[in-house]
Amino acid sequence: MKNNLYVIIKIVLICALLFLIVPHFLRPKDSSVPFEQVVRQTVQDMNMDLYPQRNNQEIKRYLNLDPTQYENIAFYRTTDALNASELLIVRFKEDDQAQAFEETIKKRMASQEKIYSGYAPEQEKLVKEGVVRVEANYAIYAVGSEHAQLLSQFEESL
Amino acid sequence: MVFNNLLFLFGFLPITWIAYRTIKKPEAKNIFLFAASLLFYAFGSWQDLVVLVIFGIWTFVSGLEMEARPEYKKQICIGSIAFLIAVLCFYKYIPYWFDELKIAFPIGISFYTFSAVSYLADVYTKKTPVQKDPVAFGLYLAFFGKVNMGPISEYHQLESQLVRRNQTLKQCGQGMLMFIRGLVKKVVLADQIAVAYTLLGTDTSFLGAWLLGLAYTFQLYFDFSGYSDMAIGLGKMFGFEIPINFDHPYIATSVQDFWRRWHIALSQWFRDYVYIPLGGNRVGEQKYIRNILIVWILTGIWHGPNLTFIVWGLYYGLLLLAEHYWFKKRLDRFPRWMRIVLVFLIANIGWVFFSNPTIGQAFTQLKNMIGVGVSSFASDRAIYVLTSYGLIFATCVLFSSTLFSQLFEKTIQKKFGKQVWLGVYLAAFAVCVIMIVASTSHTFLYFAF
Repeated sequence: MKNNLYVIIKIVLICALLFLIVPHFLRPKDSSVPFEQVVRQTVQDMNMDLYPQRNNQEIKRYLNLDPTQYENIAFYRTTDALNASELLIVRFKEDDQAQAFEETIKKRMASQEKIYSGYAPEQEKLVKEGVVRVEANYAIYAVGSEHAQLLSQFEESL
Repeated sequence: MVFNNLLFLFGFLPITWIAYRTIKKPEAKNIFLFAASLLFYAFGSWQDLVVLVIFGIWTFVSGLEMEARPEYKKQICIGSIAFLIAVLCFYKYIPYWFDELKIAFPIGISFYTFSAVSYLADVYTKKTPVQKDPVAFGLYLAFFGKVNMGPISEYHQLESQLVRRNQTLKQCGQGMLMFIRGLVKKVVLADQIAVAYTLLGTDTSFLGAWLLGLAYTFQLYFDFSGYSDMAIGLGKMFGFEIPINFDHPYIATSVQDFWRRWHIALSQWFRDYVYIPLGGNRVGEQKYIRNILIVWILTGIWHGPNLTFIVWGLYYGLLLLAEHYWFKKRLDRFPRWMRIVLVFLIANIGWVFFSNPTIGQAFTQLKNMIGVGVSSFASDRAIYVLTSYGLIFATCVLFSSTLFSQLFEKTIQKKFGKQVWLGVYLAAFAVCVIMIVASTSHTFLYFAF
């Protein structure tokens, strides 16, 4: 009886360990595609003239992210303050950056939603529909009417 | 959580110690200390804690199973150890061979796996009885003083202290002083010399290569021996007598002597659980050579999967064989100071393999150290480091020997009394805290192993 108990405990322990280890094998592999190529393919067929690329200071100001913490980062945002559309693509230096990145972007989306909720319901809707997606060492954040296309092109580019 | 963290120094440690002293019953003391140790470890990551708990339950159950099924004792022991080693290898080596598999290995896994193996081997060889108290066993494996970076205490060394510890106030005081001494080694010496090491990282001048080697030699020693002192000091504060891990290795007079003084716990572990079971030196010459090489290659592999560690292990294996067969008698004819310098240089060269990520880079540094392929004799950066960090280097040399501690401790204690002596320690602690607050403190090097 006791002997069986020991065997059962060990099987449970092995299962617990597998439960911890297996997800590492299932997670998407890091992409080796160069950052510039990912950005180019993500925004292809889009008119980016209205969405100039923003510098590091603006990334800090708008998104509360430190650009130096990332391998690469590109942020595009309309010049029209009444428009919520924006696009961010990042390549992480370390795996553990993804969670903090997602949390920061979700805070940004919540704050944007609050800002637009009073006077621009269509922009509020765009923010609500916005996407944050982490794909191994890359992540995208897109708000705008073409967010679905951006996301699909981003995934294809990897 | 780490020892050189303000939350640990002013939060976790004093609260745990006061609460521990307040509790009267030994069983309750153990439960409390075990719970505090798990909390300490969980600060790093909950996944790491799950792995530690799995290892703990696995090893504890394996011990009970060996007792319950004596006819299968050998199979249970081998199977259980194989499981622990397989998981260790998975976390430590698989991510190195498969780039895309990014798994951070649980901090301290190399240390507590060896502690677990020590328990199973001690029970199997009847050196100690099976531990029936899960809390006492958990404390052996997870005590916060040693869970992150050892020392790897062998089970039979701590067994008698696990259930009940007779702790005196004197022992507590000694523990506190030892903890402060370790903190000073880490924060004041290792972390300052680490800056010199970083500055010299890309220096290809002759002087730069030597200073780089020296900086790493001292950084590693003060970092790891500082940690070990803190761990042993914490052990004393909670009633444990953890054996010393370093005994002034840089004044060793032979390679064998060096390894009796450096990372003593690891050397003893390999001696007791690998070298002696293989036959040790009570075998023929060929088998003796095989045993030495196996132990030293395994010591290298224990540190990591990089080829540099294996070469480093092999380097010491071959040196010990060479010393045993050829140059021990010749070495003994040299004056003591000359032997110390020679062994120090041997250690320096060994650390070049240990510190570089690739064999190519290690050989480049070694070539620079003998003047091959150097950019100049002394670059501006090397001269800057020599002039700016010369005092730190000199302090490191003094602290590496017994001379400084003997003179310093005896002079102050004898001339000015214990109060002044304690004041010096408190002042040193204050300096460490200031340096930690100023963020000049770094993480421990041996966390990587």
